Amino acid sequence: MMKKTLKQAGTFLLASLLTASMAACSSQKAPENQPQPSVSQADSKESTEAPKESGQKAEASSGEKVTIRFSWWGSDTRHEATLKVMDMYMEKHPNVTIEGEYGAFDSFYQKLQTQLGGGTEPDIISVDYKWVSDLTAQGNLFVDMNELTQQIDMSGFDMDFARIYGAKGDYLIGLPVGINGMGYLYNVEFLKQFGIEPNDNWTWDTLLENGKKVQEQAPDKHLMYNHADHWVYMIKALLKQINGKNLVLDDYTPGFTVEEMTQIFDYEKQLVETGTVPPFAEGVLYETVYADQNPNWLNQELGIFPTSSSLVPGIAKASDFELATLRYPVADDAVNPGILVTPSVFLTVSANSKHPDIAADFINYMLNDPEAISVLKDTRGIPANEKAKAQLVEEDVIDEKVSTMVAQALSGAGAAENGPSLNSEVLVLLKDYIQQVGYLQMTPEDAAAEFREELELLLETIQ
Amino acid sequence: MKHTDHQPVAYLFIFPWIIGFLIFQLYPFIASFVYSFTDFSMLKSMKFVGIRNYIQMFTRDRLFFKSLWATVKYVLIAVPGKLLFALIIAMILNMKLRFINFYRTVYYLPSILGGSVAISILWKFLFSKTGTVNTLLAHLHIPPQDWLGSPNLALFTMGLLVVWQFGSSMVLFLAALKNVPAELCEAARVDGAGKIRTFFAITLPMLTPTVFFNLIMQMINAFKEFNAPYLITKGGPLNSTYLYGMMVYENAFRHSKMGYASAQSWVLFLIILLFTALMFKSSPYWTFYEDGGDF
Amino acid sequence: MKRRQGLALTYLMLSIIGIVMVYPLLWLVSASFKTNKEIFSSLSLIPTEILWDGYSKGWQSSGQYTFSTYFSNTFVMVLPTVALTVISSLPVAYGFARFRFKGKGILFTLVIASLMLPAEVIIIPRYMLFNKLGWLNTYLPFLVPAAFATYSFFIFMLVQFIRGIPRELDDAARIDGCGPWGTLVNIITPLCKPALVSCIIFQFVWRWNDFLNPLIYISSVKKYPLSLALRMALDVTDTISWNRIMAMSVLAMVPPVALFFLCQKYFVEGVANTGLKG
Repeated sequence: MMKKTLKQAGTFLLASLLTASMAACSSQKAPENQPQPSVSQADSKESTEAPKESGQKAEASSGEKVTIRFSWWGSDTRHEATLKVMDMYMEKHPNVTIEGEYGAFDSFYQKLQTQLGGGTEPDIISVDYKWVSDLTAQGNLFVDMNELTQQIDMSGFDMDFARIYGAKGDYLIGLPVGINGMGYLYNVEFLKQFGIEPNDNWTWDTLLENGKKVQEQAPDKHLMYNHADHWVYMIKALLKQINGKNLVLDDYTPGFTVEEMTQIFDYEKQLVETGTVPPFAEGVLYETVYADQNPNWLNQELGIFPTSSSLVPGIAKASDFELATLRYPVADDAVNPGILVTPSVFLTVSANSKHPDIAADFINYMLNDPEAISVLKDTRGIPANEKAKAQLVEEDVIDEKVSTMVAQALSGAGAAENGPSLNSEVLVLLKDYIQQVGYLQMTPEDAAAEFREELELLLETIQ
Repeated sequence: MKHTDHQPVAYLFIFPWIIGFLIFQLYPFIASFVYSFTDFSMLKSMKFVGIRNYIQMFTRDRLFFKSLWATVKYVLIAVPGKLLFALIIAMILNMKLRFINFYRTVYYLPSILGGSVAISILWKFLFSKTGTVNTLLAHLHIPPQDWLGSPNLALFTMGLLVVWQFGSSMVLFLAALKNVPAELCEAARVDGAGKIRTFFAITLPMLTPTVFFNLIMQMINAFKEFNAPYLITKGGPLNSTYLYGMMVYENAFRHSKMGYASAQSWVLFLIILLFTALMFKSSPYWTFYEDGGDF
Repeated sequence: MKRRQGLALTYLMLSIIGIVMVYPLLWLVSASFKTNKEIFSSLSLIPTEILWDGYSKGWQSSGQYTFSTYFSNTFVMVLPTVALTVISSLPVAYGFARFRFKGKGILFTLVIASLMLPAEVIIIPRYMLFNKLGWLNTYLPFLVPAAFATYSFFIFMLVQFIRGIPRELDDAARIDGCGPWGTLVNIITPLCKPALVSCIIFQFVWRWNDFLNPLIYISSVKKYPLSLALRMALDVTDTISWNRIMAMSVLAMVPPVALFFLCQKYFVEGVANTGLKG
């Protein structure tokens, strides 16, 4: 039976080869025909697959069929809510089709850059605050939000907050959906089991002491696990607490001395040596996924996962044990508390969009429509829109952990990050030295000195 | 030969290839050389920078030599490992055993799935700290290893993935072994040569062209490996698996340094060329062609 | 007696190697029925508690598109590419194998040289080219080069095979009134069947597993082939039921494996007779 189908398939192929060239044999000796008629045929058929850029400027209200694309990253919880809101919008506007393009944060920016370069980016794009300075440096790729005040109700937004991270001069790249605060998410039972008292006055020393406590009682368990990005946050927070500066200053010079960075790397080393965090060799496999995919976290072998608040709902969904939050550690003598508070996601409209009005209208729907708000809930952090926040508080649907974490972070909010400190190559470089120290391959002194040197070289090239 | 020396009709047959070659291979090849002297990105227009990319690569890029060295190590682990294994198994299967077809199929299977995403997922699981391999070792009272987490082991673990796919080379060796005339081996044995002597004196020399072909193709494949580092380790730990292909990709599409990435790709090309030339140069000393080695 | 022992030992060794080769694949299949906990801890291929929902829930995926979309995308991308590769490579190989013409030596050297050209070198200009042509986020970057016989491995393979076909057959065809084109269609093509099948298998498997090219050229989820979809499933899930991802991985492997088993006979013959000696 199987063999028969195979034979048929083979015959089919041969037949197509034959028909492609049949004419030649019977007609004459010299094959002056086109060598491959079938090839060109297949080509033209495929080219109908090309992007539908029919270029009509349709209004949302008119009956014309319109398709827009919307990209975001995140976890299933976020996908489900977002897709539902898209469906609701499409039901109200039958002429509009919204295609979702979603993926993981890890590769999102990479893809976005290729899309922007090729002009194939979606109409509505989620942008992280970390990319804003890179993106605005490359021209006005997105519609200036100041031009969309007619289409989008921005009255509930703290526009100053939006501008800190989302603007270059007057040009505003997008609207922040939520507020994100950095904090410690912890496994309640785990901390209790090891006699660790969670409170909001933890310093970096408290962390080490408690880390040792866990190791003494259970050598194969660890108090905390830092995701690769989180090591970067930690270094930056420590730096702000020591000297109040950003990693790279606005004039593209390092914001630290070798001594200061040595002190910071030394703290990292202590975290590893005391077993407060697992050895790097063990943790590295999960360094780019969040707690919801980290088996050690799910098996309750880790007590604390530092995270930003917008990721909490996803992690909570995957963890079948009780969770709570702690304020991020702040040194007693901190110059600046340094806890990161940022917009969670900027929604932007591509400057190439054929339907910027519809894109803006959908953004407005997502951010302001009461029905949409109650579906999206806190999947992109606590809403930055005050009205939306008030509604969710009233409906009592905000995950208490999320609101607590944001409140805790706001109590020690650090100075804002600047563009140069968020440059992708700077971050890659820092991660390298974090690994060198974490794997105990370099002493904190050497790593700090070399890092500063390399950073200066790098900054020359990106300035 | 009866045929005339020039048959223009042939151009009609190879015409599509000529077009394709010019547009999709030769043009990009030359363009990338030109690009290597420029600075540009998808969003930034092209600027001529002379040999700055090359200077930066050799004097300032701390990852360049690290990546190059990791790649060479990877090639040295993966290629000989794979070929040796393929050769040994092919020799055994050539002994006129029963069920050869069955074994051949089983051994070939991994080669089909080779570089797929599914296999990368699988590898990550098998070699994770609590994964199957460590569980197996625990049964044998061997302490668990950080197969993919330790900078010393990760590259090796990735090389194993290549060796696991030895089937594709094995099939080629088997085919070549079939072409070794049985009379030759018989003759040698009559002359009193042992099995091992026969192998080294007769069989192996007959196989050298296949070995040579495989060596070059596998080397090129290993030099451009992308999936395994990108999907399994992201180049870590400590950049120990940051293979060249991944570096070029990241510079081009992640850090938007298209010109710089082009320069790096050209250096890779020259390195591969050098290796290939060395092999071709040395091949008369160790490969054996019945017909003198003409194509 | 001693010989028999040796034989038994050989079979034992072959079987052990066979188990090592196949065990990971079987493990993957069994993992698609296991709970998370067991996936991480057990060597056994038989799950203690069988989860049946891996395939249905995994297929549903987490968003707007299911694996039906990704599977059909992959077929839409791969099948024409394979067909075009074979259809375009055969005449070229025939031209090289059977005719003498000026520049043949140089041109064939170029075929071999392009075989050895690492993809990294041309990937950036190709990307820029396809960008200019507006082909990004379509399958054209896969189809068009295939239509122009730029997968030179197959030209090489077919040339080797055609050289093994006795020229007398060509001569006979010519006497019967067939031109070069007719000879290709009536004589060479049928005889090349094993080599063509090998080409189909190789190209199908390579395109099917390809990850780098789709990663670069395809950006919208709607057009994702399986390789990108699997990667996405792996990255975004927070309700991780690993069995679902394992289940989809298993399904993604079925078509290439099935094709291989179906065409095995031709395949072995094809590889053997192409005499890929170098």
